[in-house]
Amino acid sequence: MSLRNLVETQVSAAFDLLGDLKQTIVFSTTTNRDYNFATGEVSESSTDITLEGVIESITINEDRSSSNIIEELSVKFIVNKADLGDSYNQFDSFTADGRTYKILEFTDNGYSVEGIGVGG
Amino acid sequence: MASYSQIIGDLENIFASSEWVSNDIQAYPSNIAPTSNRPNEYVIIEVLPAQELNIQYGDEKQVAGLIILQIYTPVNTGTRRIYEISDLLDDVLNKKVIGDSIQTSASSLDVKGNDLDDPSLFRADYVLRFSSY
Repeated sequence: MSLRNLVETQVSAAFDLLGDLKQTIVFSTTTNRDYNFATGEVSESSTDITLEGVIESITINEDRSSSNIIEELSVKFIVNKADLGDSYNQFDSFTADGRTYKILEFTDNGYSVEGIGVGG
Repeated sequence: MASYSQIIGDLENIFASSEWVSNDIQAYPSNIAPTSNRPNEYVIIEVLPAQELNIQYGDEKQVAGLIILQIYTPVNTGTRRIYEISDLLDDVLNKKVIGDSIQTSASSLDVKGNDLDDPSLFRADYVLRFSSY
């Protein structure tokens, strides 16, 4: 077994061990975005990928002096790269627990993908 | 005065015309991220209608500004292609009355060099002043 296969196997095993800490996440990836200069309209299509990963809330209401209302949730996510594949982009979205988040940034180390989503 | 929407609409229509499309050079407006890889050479269209002209003929108001076409070509291919693309842009933009809203002046070319965001690309800015009526 190659080292790459070994790491991929171990990453998958680690995600298996997470058990019910994982939850269902639906990633919506945008494809075929095109701009029509004649009409000014953007056309694009979306493909959904359903997988399991970990969501962690990182919202902190720092400005307690003006308002205690949390306007936008921020979460971290981490998923197995093997489950997600290659077709995702910044500003794609994902849905978890009935909330939809926009992907602000992500890091892909080749074995797992983690990032930050805002919205909800 | 032409509305801002009319100005951008008239300008963008140029890039939907058969005269430009036949050049087979991909154009993008500002503020759009393609989901497929960009081609080896392309242009990005920017319109800066930031200059208000003097009020003339009663309430008529005119706006002027810059049209900037960012031209990208691969590095290590020389600059000739930049000039060829600029000539193609001249064919559709240089000293033209575009649609019902824009009149353009003579163009100029500002060769920038390697792109700061993507060093594999070489950038030049094709610039026109325009006035709207």
